[in-house]
Amino acid sequence: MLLLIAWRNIWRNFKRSGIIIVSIAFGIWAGVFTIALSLGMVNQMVEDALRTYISHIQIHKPGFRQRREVKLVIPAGREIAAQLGQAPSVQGAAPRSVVAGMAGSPTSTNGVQIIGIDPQAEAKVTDISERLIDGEYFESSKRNQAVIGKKLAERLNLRVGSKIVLTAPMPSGEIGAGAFKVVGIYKTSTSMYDETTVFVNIQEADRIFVLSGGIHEIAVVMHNIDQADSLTTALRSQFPDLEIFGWKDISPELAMMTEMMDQSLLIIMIIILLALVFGITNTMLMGVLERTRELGILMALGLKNGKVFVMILWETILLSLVGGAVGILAGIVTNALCRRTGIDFSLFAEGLEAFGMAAIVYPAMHTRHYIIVSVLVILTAVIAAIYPGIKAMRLKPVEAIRTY
Amino acid sequence: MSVIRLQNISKIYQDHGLPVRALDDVSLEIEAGEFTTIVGPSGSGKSTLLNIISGLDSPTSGQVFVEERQLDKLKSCELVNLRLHRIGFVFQAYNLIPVLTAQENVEFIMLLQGQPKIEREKRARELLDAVGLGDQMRRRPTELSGGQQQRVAVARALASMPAFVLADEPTANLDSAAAENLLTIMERLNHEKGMTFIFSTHDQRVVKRAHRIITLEDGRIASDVKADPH
Amino acid sequence: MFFYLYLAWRNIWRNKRRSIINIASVLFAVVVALGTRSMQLGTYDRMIENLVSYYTGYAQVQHKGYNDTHSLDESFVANEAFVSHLQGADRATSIAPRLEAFGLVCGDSATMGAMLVGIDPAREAEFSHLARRVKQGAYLEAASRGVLIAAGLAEQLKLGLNDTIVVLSQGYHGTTAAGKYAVEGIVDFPSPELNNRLIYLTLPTAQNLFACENRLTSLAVMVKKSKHQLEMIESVKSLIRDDLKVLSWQDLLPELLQYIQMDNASGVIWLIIIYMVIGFGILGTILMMTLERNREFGMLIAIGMKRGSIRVIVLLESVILSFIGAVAGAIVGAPILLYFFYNPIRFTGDMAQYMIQYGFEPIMPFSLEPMIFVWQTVSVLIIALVVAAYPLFKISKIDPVSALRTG
Repeated sequence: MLLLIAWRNIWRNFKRSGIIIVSIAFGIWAGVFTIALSLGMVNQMVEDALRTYISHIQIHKPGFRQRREVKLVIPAGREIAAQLGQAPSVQGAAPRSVVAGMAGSPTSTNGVQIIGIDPQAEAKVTDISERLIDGEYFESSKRNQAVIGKKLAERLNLRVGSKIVLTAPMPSGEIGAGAFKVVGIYKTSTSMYDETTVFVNIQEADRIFVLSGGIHEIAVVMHNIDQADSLTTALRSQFPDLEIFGWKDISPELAMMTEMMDQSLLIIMIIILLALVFGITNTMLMGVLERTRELGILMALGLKNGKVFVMILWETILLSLVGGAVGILAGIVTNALCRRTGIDFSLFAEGLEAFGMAAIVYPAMHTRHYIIVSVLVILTAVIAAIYPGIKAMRLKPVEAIRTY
Repeated sequence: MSVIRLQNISKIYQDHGLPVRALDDVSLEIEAGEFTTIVGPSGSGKSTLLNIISGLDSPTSGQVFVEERQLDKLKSCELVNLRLHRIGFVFQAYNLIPVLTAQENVEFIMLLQGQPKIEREKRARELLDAVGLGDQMRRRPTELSGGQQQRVAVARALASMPAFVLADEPTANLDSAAAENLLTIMERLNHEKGMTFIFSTHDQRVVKRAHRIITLEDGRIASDVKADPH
Repeated sequence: MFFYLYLAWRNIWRNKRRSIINIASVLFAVVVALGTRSMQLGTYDRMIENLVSYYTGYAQVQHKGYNDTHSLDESFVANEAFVSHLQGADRATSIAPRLEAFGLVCGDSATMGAMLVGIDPAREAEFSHLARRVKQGAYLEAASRGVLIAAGLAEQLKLGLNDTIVVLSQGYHGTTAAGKYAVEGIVDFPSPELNNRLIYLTLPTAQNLFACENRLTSLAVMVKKSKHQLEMIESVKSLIRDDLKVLSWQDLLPELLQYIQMDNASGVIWLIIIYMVIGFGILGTILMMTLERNREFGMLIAIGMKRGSIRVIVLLESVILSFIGAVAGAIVGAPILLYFFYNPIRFTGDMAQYMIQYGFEPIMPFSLEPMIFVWQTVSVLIIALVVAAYPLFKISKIDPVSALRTG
């Protein structure tokens, strides 16, 4: 009954309730959209980073990750990689040799990681082969092929077909160098990676830098990322002498980012809702004040103070829920529309790519977030109802009836 | 000279799509210095008549002359100025600006007229003294009784030095003592300053004191008699 | 006019609670806005300062084409006289001649890529206060043969003072460049981007290493305040040869500029959201103030007040109501900003690691730029005007006859 009265009361002053509902709806919509956009950005960033260069699990000789010494090779690395590649839960395992060196063209030089890869195994692990913007991925027939990033190509003024000289220290301590031909140019969403990563065939890296078949890194991608943890544990007991890291260990920042984003989004939503509290409180207060007489009559008829408070509370919650529902629905629709095309931030592409973010963002939002938003809306309504509710509760029936 | 002259005034309202004849061929002249009351049951057209006289409303047919100026020939800003400078208003209720004091309410109209501050203050004091509220000048409407509020309204109506004062049921919300007091003040102002008052009312206390009683029935003048006030 | 102001002021306080809630809402929005803006602008200033004042400079003179390739082949000949000549540019406070190139740096156990920068030690000290950044060892002298190495890089290469590094690179016109140098000092930068990749040599040492006799890749120019930048660039333009060009830091660091622009845009959108939410609340109040005074407006029109004057009063009410909130917000916000300006938030732990990883200094500085306050006031006034549009429109529709008749 109270609920019904509350519902009818909301619609008595249509204009006033309308304004506050629109304001709640707008606030929630803006919040939901911001959240979806930010989550979309972060998800994409994490996915891209995993797909492009982190993978799900990486195996190294202890110390290699810090010092990048060429001597720190994985014993029997190729065999381990081949074995892992056969495991049913594993999508692919790529052996790599990784050498910190320098790439030079006739005009300029740049610092790079030279990564020797097995093109077939690598294609199952990373998506560089799908990110070529010019030229082709490795062809088995040709020798001394290199695939480089777009940014490096610009820096060194290189095109497909250009010659590139790769220089790096060898395990012996001497410096080795080799001339390669650029066969493909790729572009990821991280400009720094594109500027500093050169792919060559693992056999050629081996030959030029005299690595004697040693590899430095095995990158593993699972069919299902959730299985990475269990495989990591299994590998650790199998190879106690190797450093085996899941993606969260390799890039704790990335793992942390999702969590941090969740927190900052919660803060954004709370600030929006706090801003809404003022408007809601005011609307409800006005509703109470202009109904002084009516509330007085209800109380004179025997409606208890507590019930009056509950009635005001219900009104506020209903009002907020109507606004919240409209806002969330609008958010869902907007998100769905934007998911289809993505939102183009190409204007800021360079700035975004400096931080590993793609320029086209697809908003993403979990049901979990919608639930959190809804709960927050109700919480907001309760907070907003306190003052007007107390005001209504404190009315003295006699005085309330007298004044009008 | 007639301050107000109405010629064959008719007013037809549309009420929920049905035409309602509020005034039907009313002709009327009011001379300066009159203390006239327009009486009649509710819906007889009293308020409509006052609204038409003040130019707030326009007749469906017929002409209105205020001090021999034909109202429908005036531009809207001239109408505003006419109301501001030539007509004083006292309404049934909600006469005063709630956030201003009695004195400020009286001064307000002179301020709109653009009179200097010294003149405004002097006149407001005189008028409030005249209505017996010289000691309540700084009070706000909510701090005054209904009768006092109406007296402030009268003082304000006079502040603009109008040609006549239109009072729409000024005593409707007042008790007898307050009503008598208000009427006495208005009567005195009529007597001493020659101010023209036109009331619409169905309050017998007002009717008893009127010099001329115009009775409206169904939008027509049923009677128009000179009376000796008691 | 003064009287209208007085009337508007009185009207606002007719319903105290309502007005206070409104003012509180504006105050809230202004404080949130001041906080976020101050943080954003403070961070931008810091980022710009970290890269611009500590390294890049507000502008650089380069050979045409150098910025695209960073090739030593695009270096230019510049003698001491030319540098002194540029020193005469308007607003230029100091000038740093540099020869920069990428090289491989080998320590005992590891090899890393690094940016090798040949500098004039005295000029560089004045330009970027590099001497003050030395945390171990000594700053370079004009005749030094050794190098200064950035702390982050030194750590990765496990290098200490007097250790020897071998540098390998490519010099002018593809010559091989190799050299062996002693570490004379370690310098510390707050920006990870600089701290992980810089090695300083004296200009003659670098010119010798890269076979670039008398050549520079850039001349960085500093100004005292960022607002002097344009004036300085114009002046430098008139002083240089045809084969050279001037690039602003915005040209030199397009990624930083874009990041700032994007972050700034998102900040502005955030403020618009907050202000719109608050604006709806005020709209509700102004709407109620209009509706409940319908009779009063009718009476005012009847006694001869012009609608225009009533509009002025309503507009004033809206403006005053919002303005009090803005001023109160500034009063509450200013000390908070002031506190964080002098005690910026420093991040620790994972958060700090994360920020460093992405090239940010793990610190959240605040800005006290007066324009932040001005903009919030302007925004609030715009809201007040927009919100007042409804009652202003409503006033033209008031019919005094029916307004006086009804409730």
